[in-house]
Amino acid sequence: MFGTYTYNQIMNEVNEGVDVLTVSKKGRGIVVPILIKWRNKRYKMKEIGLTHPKREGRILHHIFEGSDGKLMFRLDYNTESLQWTLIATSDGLPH
Amino acid sequence: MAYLTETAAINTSEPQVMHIDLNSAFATIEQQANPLLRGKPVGVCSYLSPGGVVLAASYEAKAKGVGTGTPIRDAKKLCPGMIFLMPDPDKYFYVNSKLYALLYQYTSDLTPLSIDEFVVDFSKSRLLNSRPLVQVAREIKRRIQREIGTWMRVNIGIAPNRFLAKTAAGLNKPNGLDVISHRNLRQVFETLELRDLCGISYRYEARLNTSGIFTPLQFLDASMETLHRQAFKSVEGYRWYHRLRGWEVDSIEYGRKSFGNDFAIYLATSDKKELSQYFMKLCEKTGRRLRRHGAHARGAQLWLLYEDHTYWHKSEKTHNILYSTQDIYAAIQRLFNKQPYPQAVSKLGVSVFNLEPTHPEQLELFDTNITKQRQLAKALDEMNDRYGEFTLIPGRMMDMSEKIIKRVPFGASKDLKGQYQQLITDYGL
Repeated sequence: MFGTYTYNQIMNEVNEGVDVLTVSKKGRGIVVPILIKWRNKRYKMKEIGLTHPKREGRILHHIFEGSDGKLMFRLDYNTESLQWTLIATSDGLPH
Repeated sequence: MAYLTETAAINTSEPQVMHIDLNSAFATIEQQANPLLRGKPVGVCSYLSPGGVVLAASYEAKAKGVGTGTPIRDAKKLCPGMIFLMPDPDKYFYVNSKLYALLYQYTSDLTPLSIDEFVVDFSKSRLLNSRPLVQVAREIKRRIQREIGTWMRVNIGIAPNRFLAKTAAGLNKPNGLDVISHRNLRQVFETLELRDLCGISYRYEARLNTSGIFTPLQFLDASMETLHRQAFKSVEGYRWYHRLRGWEVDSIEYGRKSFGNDFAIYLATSDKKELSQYFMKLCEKTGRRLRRHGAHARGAQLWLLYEDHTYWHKSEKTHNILYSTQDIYAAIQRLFNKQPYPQAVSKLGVSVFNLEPTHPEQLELFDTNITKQRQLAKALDEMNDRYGEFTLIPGRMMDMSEKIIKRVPFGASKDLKGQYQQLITDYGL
């Protein structure tokens, strides 16, 4: 899913459903993830760098890219199933 | 020959044209998205193989000598530890659409020059004339950081014409804000080399050198006759004479004469089936753009770059109208079969020309194949507009997966305005 990052040297593909705690911020889009629970570990997001929409067929996804200060997370919010998927993570260094 | 404006003076009107250039656009957007990349040398590349080239280098990489067009194998030597990424065009389009939407709030006289550059002409927006443009520029910079991303930085140049505004935007990278007017034109030119001027390639530099022009100041002081008859030997000399003096000669938008797409194949191939898939995808992209512009064509061109770096091309006018992807594909396949010495192909491109507007069209009394094909093409386009590019594809493109990766259209600025406006409507930016 969302092809190009597969080739990136710094991203580790995950593609797993995750629990996400969000807040709704005025003027910042639908929601902002503030906490991710992945593989029984909690990650507190320090910054969401960018969000952008992406269509896959008739389904609109929102891609969130941000960091907890140590790891970068690329998250997908499926606006039809209302599910969050962790697409990839990165520590910012090449493999 | 008498030159009507031989004595054209330097334009002394107040600068009203703003050039906005997103610093190292794609690399900066990636650093904005991923905070862990900030402060590190990053390159967005065409491919990640050693022969792939850097499309955009972050300022940290530029400081080590890596620039646009540097092959990855060289970039690795110049800048050990550099991080290479594949482009993510959807992300870049979205960020640039947000930038377009932000600038549109100031004036509708806004032109995207490429995917990371905008020209804003304030001369017709009376409401803003009361505010100094430098103040407006500072506000734009603040808003970009607040509304798009804290890492996003733009160079802004303000001048009486587009050329000088672009020159001003390049004076203090990154994050510069400079004004060129009749007051400081000569001082600015004193600090520049001929090749620093946008549009002066090494070929043009050599032409100017042979006319005894070695610096931008000498270029400015040269007579129109020298530029027209000696240096450029064309109307370009006339344009440069005015351009350097701050008069607008670059605001003309030329009409479109063709639509085309090309693609570099990762591993050269002579497999006809594989090549036909590439043709079909390029024809689909070309056809979509042709139909979106409400046009059909009466000519097709195919060009091929072979593995041994030799080049072959053929174009033909057609009796039939080229409208649907299938029409274009059939014309291209015919051209392909006319190759005298087929070899393994490493790069290929298709285009259509002799454009005519689709409307008004001669309606058919009965439902013929042509009408049906047109309706089918229209219906397919509507589906792909709504649900995303390549949701519905011709059968020949099956199993192609991502053989032709979505690329950033560097030069297709004529299409950008419409695409930005579409995104703004779709996502309420």
